[in-house]
Amino acid sequence: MVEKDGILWKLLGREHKEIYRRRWYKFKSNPLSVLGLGIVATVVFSAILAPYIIPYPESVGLYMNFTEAFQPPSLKHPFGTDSYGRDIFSRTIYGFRYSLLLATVVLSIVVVPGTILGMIAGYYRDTKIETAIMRLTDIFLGVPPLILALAIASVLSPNLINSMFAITLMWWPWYTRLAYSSTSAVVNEPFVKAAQLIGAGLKHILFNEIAPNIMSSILTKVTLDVGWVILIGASLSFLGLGAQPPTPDLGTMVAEGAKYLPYYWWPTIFPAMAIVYIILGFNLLGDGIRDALSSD
Amino acid sequence: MSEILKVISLTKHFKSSVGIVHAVDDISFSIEEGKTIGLVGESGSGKSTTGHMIAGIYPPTRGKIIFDGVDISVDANKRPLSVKKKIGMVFQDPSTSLNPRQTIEDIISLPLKVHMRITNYAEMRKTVRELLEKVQLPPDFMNRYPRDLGGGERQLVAIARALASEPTLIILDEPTSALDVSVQAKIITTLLKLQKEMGLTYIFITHDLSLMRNVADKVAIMYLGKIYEMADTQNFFEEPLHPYTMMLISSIPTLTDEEEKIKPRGIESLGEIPSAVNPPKGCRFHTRCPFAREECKTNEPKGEKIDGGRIVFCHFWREIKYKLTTNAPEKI
Ligand SMILES: Nc1ncnc2c1ncn2[C@@H]1O[C@H](COP(=O)(O)OP(=O)(O)OP(=O)(O)O)[C@@H](O)[C@H]1O
Ligand SMILES: [Mg+2]
Repeated sequence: MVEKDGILWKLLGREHKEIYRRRWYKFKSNPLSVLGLGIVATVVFSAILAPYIIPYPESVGLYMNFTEAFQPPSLKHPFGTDSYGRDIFSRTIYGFRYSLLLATVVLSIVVVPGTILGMIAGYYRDTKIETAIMRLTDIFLGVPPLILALAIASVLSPNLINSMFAITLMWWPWYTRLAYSSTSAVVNEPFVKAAQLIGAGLKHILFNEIAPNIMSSILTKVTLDVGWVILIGASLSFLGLGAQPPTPDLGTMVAEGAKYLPYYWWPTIFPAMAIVYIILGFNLLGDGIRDALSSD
Repeated sequence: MSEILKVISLTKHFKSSVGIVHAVDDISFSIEEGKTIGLVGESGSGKSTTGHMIAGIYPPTRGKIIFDGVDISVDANKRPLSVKKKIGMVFQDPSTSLNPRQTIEDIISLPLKVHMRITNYAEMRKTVRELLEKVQLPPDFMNRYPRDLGGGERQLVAIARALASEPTLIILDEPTSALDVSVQAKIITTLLKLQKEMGLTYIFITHDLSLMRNVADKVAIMYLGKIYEMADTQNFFEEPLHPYTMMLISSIPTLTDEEEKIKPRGIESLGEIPSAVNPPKGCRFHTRCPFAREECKTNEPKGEKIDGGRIVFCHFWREIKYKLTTNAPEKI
């Protein structure tokens, strides 16, 4: 095979600059999309730079300073301090790292195999292969997501790795289903028939004919899912099945702080708002990407 | 001249929710190398289905397809690569037959990779450029996407792709009907030029009988899955024998009085095409035929061979011809 560009470029369609410019213009013209991009950028940058920018690096770990406990928000501690006297602002910023780590790990494991399974099922419509794959995804999708993750996480010992594992296991079928329906819409197109008649192999048809045509919906879903994976992860942590204290995980922080509600509200509200902030950002960004991609 | 393709009793039935669709029923014909056969008929007559079986999109329900002496009555993925190389297909609508996410270069290079074993990038580009030249498109089109091209240009790309594997037979399924009238002629002349240069054999599918006059060597008229008349093009327009053929020819708009004069009279388009799920018994055309008699409703007409490879499927073609040429009253 003659390869003149990377596979990713190929999947994205290797379209010329003009199209990217048009997409960017479309994206830019919606202020909400730009807001989403802004939010995501702040989250990503503060997660990466967290160790250097947080005012109280020692607050991230097992640090106790009871004289400073439950300080309300002030200039010194913008988000206040928790029951151990740790700076909640520092912990929240650091919490972005865990959230993004979770989403990155889960999605990078899930997207490719889930999508390929879905493409195979869509390509082999009306065969046993389709039935087998789609039954399996139906089984996974039939169980409410949080319940499944809860079941898995509670069988295994509660920690960040196992909650990642639980979410991974429940997340792939969404990609299979999406890729399946997008592939089904493409597979009967004459250009696929043409490639088959020429004698192209399965690999070519899946990756060169079909994949570039379903990539935009997959890409949009990935962006939207970052928020949802983080939310599920936070829910598991909140229920005590995810990252354990003293890890500055946003869900864990919400759970710990909840004990002191409503009198000390800040240990709960600020991490909770951070979760909302991340989800909002990725949702706005995802919607913007979808609109931009659907313009061509 | 040798026979390159022969189909024998070719039949395709589709299962559908309303019953079995008799898309193609027991048709036979053959083509000589370097010639064009036109498959003509109204919508739903089974032209595309015939083309698809020969191309290998799906296998026939019954019957045989013999190509170059080899039985290829299976779908494409069961055919040897050497057969796929030799049969090309051009679809009706180039806006769906070219992948919108691939460059023209990607599109044309697929058959080169599969059949011509070209793996050297420079050689690949050179070959793509030559193919574009062959269909009279500028070489810099190869970096473009189908959406950047006009309909006619896209169809020329589809033709270049079909040529890339150096086929001997090309199936053209209404290659101009999705295009602007202004570019149709260009596509046709290009196809004819290529045929002459490369000795290609065409199966030309169309519902536009008038097109066949300049393109086809032989025309087969299809109606509801059956061939009702087949003849060399010359004879065909001069002396159509089957009432359905006459009906088709009389519906061609004429430009000159002279054309009007030689048009067969007395045959007007009658009624709607019946469903292919329950095709009429006997002669399938009898529900629309102004000459139909009792026998037509029960007995299927056998093909009657007439001089020069001509064949007509009608119980009463002689009488009809006699009546019409002597200008007798319409009823017989
Ligand atoms: N895959 C299929 N499943 C079921 N029925 C089909 C299928 N393909 C074609 N048919 C039916 O078979 C008959 C012949 O169809 P075909 O497409 O061959 O006609 P055609 O002569 O090419 O007509 P057109 O001019 O509309 O393209 C029609 O009644 C059509 O509905
Ligand atoms: Mg057709």
